Amino acid sequence: MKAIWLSLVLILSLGAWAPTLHAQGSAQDDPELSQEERIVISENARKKIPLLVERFRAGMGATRDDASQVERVVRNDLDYSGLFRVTTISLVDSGAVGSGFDALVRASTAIENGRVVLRGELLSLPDLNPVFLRDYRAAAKDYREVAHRFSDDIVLYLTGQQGISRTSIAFVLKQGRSKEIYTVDYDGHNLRAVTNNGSINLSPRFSKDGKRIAYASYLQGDADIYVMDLSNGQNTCWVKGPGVQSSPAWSVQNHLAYGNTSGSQSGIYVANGAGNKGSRLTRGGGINTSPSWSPDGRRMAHTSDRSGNPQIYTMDAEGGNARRLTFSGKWNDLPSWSPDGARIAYASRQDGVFRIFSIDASGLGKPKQLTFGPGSDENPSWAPDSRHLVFSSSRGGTRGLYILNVDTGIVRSLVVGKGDASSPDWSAVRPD
Amino acid sequence: MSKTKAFPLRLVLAGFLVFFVWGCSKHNHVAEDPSAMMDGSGNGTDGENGNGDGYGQDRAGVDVDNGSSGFYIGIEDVFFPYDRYELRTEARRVLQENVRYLRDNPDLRIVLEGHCDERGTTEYNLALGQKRAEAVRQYLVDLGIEPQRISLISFGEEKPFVEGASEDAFSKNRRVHFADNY
Repeated sequence: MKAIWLSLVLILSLGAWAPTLHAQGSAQDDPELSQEERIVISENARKKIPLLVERFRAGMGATRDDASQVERVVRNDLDYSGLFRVTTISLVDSGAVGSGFDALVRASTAIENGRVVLRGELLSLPDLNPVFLRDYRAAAKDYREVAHRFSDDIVLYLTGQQGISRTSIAFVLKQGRSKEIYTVDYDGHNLRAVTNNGSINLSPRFSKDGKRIAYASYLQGDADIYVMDLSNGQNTCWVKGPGVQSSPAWSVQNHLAYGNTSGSQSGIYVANGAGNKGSRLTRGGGINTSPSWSPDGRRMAHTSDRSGNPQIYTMDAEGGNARRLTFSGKWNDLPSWSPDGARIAYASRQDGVFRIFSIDASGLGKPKQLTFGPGSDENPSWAPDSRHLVFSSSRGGTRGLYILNVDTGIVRSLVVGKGDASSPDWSAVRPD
Repeated sequence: MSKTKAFPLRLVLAGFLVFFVWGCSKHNHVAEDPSAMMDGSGNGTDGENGNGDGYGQDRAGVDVDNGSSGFYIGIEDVFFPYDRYELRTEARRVLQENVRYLRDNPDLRIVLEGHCDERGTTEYNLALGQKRAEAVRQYLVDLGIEPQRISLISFGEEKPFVEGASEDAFSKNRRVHFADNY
């Protein structure tokens, strides 16, 4: 046992990819062990890296306010990551930096010809050796984007993990009698309408490259699947009747899975392009909905009531080889497969309301409860780092969006303006 | 809100036994006893005319209705228990009455709208609503109604008949609604 613990500590110290891989591998060998490992890993993840952030300087053409705005975005990003204990110091103090910090963040903001230039630097402490120095440029109005890129580099260099600052969340916003699709940056900025058609639009899901959003809509009478190209606003009807088309989900291969209910059949289908109903993966007369692909596109989680009530199953991407994952509770629904492949989050009905749980994707081990209300918590969707989940909850009275740090259990509200917000979907990281 | 106006009007009409098509929204609703619904005993009707919920009034103004929110005296909606889509005894009795009316009015085309209460999930409820509508369609066809007279649509939990989070509201929202299709 001691040897295992020692090897874990070694693996953890080697880098952030290691614990994920290790936990995944062992989960298949020994479910008991993987539970124990997970506890160790999550204890370790709570040890935050102590980080000094020097007040951002105003460079050529920039005001003190410009620099502060950029700095605020970076500090928020570092805070939201849950990985750091950030201490901000003014420039004069920096000569008197004591021990107890792992690294120093130093940056200046300049404006050149309407473009913002962020010169960001990371230095190790106490020796002040440069870790990286990089210039980030964008149109001045996109200053948040350069700040996010710097934040993600800090996360990457210090932890080996992919930062999530350049991500968005698509969701449904109720507006009077209609429901429209919106996107918002992960930090609550840049709210943008995707649809504005006055109909009922549901279940938005980003393509893996972030360029398209599939959703279900009553635009032509009953529920069909549409795809919005975010680059040019072109809206395409992807799958049309008969019956109800619901809950689309893109694979990494850009195949679109969805639920179809017509006649006595309710199955998961996979369409390879617009206008093609595609092939059916599930059999039987029960209800099958809410597909969620494994990151490699080879398996698929979904909801099925074949046992008599809704439960989470996985199956092969071509159908078959099905495995039931959930056995506790009478309504388990809305699976979301984590980007690292290890866990499947889902909503489970407990005492009349839903709570977010996760379970090892192999089905081994016990489900772990992640949210505790109040209100009903639904629609979990993983961030690309597999450490954060966005979900909808009625805990604030109306339905709103919340972000959970799975390691720390800390939940923060994602404010997206007035109206009920639901059905969030977390994008992959935007490319540079 | 129009529902408060529609209710007394409906009573007046019922009182005079007026029998005609009311294109906007009335509902000769057979009141349901929620307890009967839950135990599935199938005697959930007290025969009273006037739950007064203005069914069909508060539904989202989405074009899909397109005049289909109307109701015919003589046709009743059918109700379902939580997370079920099989027809109960009471639902079958109501449908047998509806079949009689549809036979007497052979030009009438109908849309079966599947609805769910808000306690499930949006995605699952879309399928559940469709399954409910399909169960009703199959029963009507089995009793001899021509399939081409029947269209189906599921609204899941998106267009509740009654707002609110009470068991009473939930039980009224788990239904297949008969709408006219012309």
